Amino acid sequence: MTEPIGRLALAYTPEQHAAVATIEGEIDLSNVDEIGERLAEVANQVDSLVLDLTRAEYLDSQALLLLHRLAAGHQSGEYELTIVAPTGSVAAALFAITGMAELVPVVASNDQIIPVRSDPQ
Amino acid sequence: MEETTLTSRITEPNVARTDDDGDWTLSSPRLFVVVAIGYWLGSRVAFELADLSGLGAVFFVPAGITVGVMLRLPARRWWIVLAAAAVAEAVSDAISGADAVAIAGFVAANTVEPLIGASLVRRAVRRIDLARRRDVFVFVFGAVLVAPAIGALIGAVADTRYRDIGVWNTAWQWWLGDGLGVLLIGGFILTWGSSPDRRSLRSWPGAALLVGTVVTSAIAFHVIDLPAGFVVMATIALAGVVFGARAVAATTLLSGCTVAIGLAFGSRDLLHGLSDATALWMIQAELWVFVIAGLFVAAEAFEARLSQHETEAARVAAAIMERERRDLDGLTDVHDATTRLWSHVDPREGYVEILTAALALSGCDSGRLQVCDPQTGVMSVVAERTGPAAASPSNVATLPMVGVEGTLLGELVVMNDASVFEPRRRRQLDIYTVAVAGYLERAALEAARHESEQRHRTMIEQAIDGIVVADQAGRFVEANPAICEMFGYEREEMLGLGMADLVWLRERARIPAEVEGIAPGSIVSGEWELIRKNGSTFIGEMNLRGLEDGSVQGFVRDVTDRVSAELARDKSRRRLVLLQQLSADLSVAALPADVAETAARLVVDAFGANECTLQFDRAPVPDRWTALGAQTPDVVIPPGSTFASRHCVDLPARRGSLELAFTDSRELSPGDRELLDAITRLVVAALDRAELHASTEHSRELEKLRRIRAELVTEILTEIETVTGVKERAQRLLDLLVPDIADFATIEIPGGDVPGEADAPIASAGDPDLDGHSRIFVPIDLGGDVTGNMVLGLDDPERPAYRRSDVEFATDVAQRAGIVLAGARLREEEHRIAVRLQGALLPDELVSTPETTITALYRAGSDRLEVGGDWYDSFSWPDGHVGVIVGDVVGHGIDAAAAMGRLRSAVAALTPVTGPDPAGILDALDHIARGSNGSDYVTACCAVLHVASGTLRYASAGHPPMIVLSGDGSTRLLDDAQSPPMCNIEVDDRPEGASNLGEHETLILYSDGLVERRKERFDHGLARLCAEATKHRRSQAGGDLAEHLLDELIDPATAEDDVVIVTLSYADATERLVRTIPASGDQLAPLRADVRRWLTHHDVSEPIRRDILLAIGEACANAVEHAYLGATGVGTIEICLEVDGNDLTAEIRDHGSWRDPGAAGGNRGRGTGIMRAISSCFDRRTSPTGTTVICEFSLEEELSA
Repeated sequence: MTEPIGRLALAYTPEQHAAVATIEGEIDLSNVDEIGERLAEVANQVDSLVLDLTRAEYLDSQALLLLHRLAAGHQSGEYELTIVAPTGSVAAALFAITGMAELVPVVASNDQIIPVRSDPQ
Repeated sequence: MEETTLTSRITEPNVARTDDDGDWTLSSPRLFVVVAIGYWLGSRVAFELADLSGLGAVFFVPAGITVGVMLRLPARRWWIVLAAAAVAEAVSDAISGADAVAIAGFVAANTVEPLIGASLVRRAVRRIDLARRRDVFVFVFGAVLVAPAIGALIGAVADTRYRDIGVWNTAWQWWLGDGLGVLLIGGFILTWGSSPDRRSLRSWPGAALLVGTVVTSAIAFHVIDLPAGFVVMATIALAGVVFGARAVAATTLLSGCTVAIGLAFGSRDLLHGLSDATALWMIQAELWVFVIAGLFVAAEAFEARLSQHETEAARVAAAIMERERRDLDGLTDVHDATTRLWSHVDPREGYVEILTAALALSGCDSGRLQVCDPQTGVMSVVAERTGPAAASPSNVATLPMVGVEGTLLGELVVMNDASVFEPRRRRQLDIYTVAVAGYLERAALEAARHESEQRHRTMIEQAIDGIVVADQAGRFVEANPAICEMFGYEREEMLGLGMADLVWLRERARIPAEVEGIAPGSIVSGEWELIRKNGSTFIGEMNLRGLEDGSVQGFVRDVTDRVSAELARDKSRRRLVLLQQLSADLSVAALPADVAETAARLVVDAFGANECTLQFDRAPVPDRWTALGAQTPDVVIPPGSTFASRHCVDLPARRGSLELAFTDSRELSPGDRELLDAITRLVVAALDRAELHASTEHSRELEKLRRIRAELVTEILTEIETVTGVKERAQRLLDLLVPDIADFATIEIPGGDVPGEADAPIASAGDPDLDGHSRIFVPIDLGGDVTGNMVLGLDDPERPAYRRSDVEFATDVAQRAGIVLAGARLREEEHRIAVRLQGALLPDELVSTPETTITALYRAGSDRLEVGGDWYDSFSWPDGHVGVIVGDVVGHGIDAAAAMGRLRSAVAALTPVTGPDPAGILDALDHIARGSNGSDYVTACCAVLHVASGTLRYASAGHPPMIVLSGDGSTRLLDDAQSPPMCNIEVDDRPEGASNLGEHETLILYSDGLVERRKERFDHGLARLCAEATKHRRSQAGGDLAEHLLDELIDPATAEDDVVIVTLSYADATERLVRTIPASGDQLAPLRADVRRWLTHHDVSEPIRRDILLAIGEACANAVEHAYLGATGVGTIEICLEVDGNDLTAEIRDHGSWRDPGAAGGNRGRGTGIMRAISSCFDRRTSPTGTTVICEFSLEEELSA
């Protein structure tokens, strides 16, 4: 395998129990499980999770399934999930088609999110 | 008496009969006279009797005489009988005052009738035998029913001149009378030559039968009543069953005569007022029934007896077979008896057995075996058995047994009560005697040995025995000097010792039983291992005798020498048995291999060797056989283990050896060597015999092989001509040779495919990398100074190496197949030149403009018909026109190719002059063709497109019509501008057609090779072309389409003509991307990258690009996740994107099995929803062979949005 097609970057503030996860590149059949596991891991440790899909280049129904599972924790009150999908992005287009925006709070910009300090770890 | 006259007359011809062949050898004049007189007299008698009775003739004698005599004669002599009958009839009629016409009619009737009758019978059976059922049938049908009917009609017509009772009445009477005449007289004549009767009439029962018939007939017909006549039937039936056909004929004739005479001379009261005519035919009918029934009864009886005879014959044959089988069994008995005999170690043990076996084989109960003393020649009885036959034997056989050197060894005497021996038993006995002779010879040898042994023993006995006496306590109380010396003790030392001191330690256990328990007066003898004072041991024979006082006296004799002599004798006897065994075993070894194996095995056993190898040199390879020694659990010889000692003896008179190997160190004694020598002599003799046998077999095999191979060569030559190319022919040749003749084979020619290069194989069969153990190289002359090589090789070690006969065969094949290959090679060579020439003459490149795409495809015809003269070219004019032309110079080979080249360059030079004028171009071309060699018949078509407007002008000179293929798949023919081909005839004003070429349309020009097929109408080919074009409308214009058409329409194996396809279309009418990827998740990202690049290249906007990528991604993910579940290996996914104007179609196809989204659970339903949502049109088709997803996207709509 060459370069991973999709990347998950995490910004983490334990004291605030909040994290920002940024997905870059593509999510498909080949990496959805791996990324999904790591996100679930993070989600279990925080009260607030921001998932930034601004730079996601390809998302398909596999990714939707992943988001769906994350949203389940949000709905049960385990944590607060916010998904960032700017207008015109791949994610926004997908949400528009699937009606996903009704299930999870989707915001168009990162600016509305409480800034978190980047964690070097 | 009338009767006697009658009988003597009709038996007259019988006198002349000489043998059984049915042909009477009476000379022609005599035959004529006899028949004529017989006929005349018969006729007179019949009519005289008729006149007397006033009833008409009961039966017409001459009718029977003629047909009867004729059937006894060959057909070439019938005319004599017929002539005699004619003359007699004519004379007879003339005397009775008939006129000429009537005479002619009667003569005709009486000659035609027997001729027809005899012919019918002769046609059905060559030689009639009234004892057979079928012959009787033929006789009755032909000679009695049919022929007289015809004669009767003719005669009745003639008779009308005299009587007026009606033609049919006369014919009826005539028929009855003649038929009865044939039955009685003819039957009588014929039965005299048929199968003899079961019982002769010349016996008193015969005489009684004849007399009885006359009496019964007379009484029945004349005294009682007409119906009572059937009593006679009983007599006749009796005659048929008991005597036979001949008796039937005789009795019925007698009966008939009796009736006729009785009617003539006797009373007619019995007719009881019946009319004359009715009475007559009733009598006749009765007699008819008698004869026919009698004959059939006799035939039935005869046939029944015949089948009885056949059954009997089958029984006898079975008995003979049974006897032969018993003979064979008998020989097996002899063999068994002989084998048993040889199992005796002492020949003398076998004497009784010999006698028993001999008696059993000969079926005798008494006999004796006498053996001859070789020294004295005195015969002594060694075995005897006295049974009941011994007292008064009626048959005694004395069988001498003679040794190889002619010495009389003995006699076997057997006797029985029977008169003679069965030949079978006698034969068995003879064979057995020979076997016994061999056995007795051995016995004599043994006897000689035995005698020398006896002498030895006596010698030893002359020595004084040692004597010792032991008291009741077992202490020696007496010892003579001999025994003291024997044991090395002083006498004083000896006394006081006991038995236990003299015997070797392990023998002491015997003492209590054999010495101490000895009863007074009894004697016990035995061999003991005794020990001397100095500790050495020896074998002694001890005779112990119990004395009255309880003491024991012992006589001791040193028998060491004797024992060792006995051991030696045993050993030599064993050797003798071994040699005999070997000799017997070898006699059944048919092949050299059997001989070697038998010998090796026996030698291993005999010498206790661990391995015996027999090797002998026999061309072409030395044969070698090895037998391993017996392996016991204690001694296991691993294969290939080293041996401590080996002994080798040469086989006499041939290069070869016999080697014995032992795991322990062992020396061979001189005796062993002798034995080995004897064995080798036996082995060599057996080998000679086996090889002789094998070589006879071998030459027979060779002959068979030669015949098979001659057939194979013929088959090969026929077979390889069914293909055309030199490679194919070479391959076919080798395929026929492998594996029958070779395990692998190659044909190589200099340069292989490419002339001038190193040798290279053009065909091979089997594994070409093999070296094999035997190979044949033979040259193949391929004509034109090219000589190739054929290599045949054997690799299978089981197959014998090639011999001279194989080389001869290979040379033969190479020579004859070479001619066939050479023909193919030369043709290919020429073809290659022509193809290259043509290739060189066709345009290197086509006109290329940004707006249009022109493609051309040329494929040469098959090798068989060389190249054609198809050509094409393209042009452009500065005023925005492009043109294409396709032409065909009719003809093949280099000339056509050259002409084509000339025309093409001429056109290229002309187009600037003619301008974009298709008809003008063809006119100019025609003009050039007329003055050119090799272009007597040229067809061509030309089209010119005005690129900006799409106006298409075209013209055709005898060429098949061009086709325009639309984007929707419809086709249209451009056939409005047809003109004659260019064939040296001036054509004015070739017509020009006009059409339009749309943006998504493709103009197709082609040569006739694309559509023409043998035995098919041209328009069918055209229709097929259109259909294929429609099918492949989505092909990228140009190359793809032309390739598809060629693939679909032309079978390269059978295509004869060359083919050109040229297409002209607007550029970029359609674009497509086709990819095939493994159905695996990690393949999806690279695919998306690929598709993204392609979409970017085609200026597809980002949002649409994203949708397309998503749709493809979903469809592929579905295929990866679900389609190949449960399948082994990784399947594939085919992706096809096609841009057509503003429409994009994505097609994703897998070959797995589609599963219902609901049933599968998971995420797939969502994927499908996405695809449906983003595409303008979504379709999924599922079949057992896979799933196809088609998504369509509109590029334009999105842009405007």
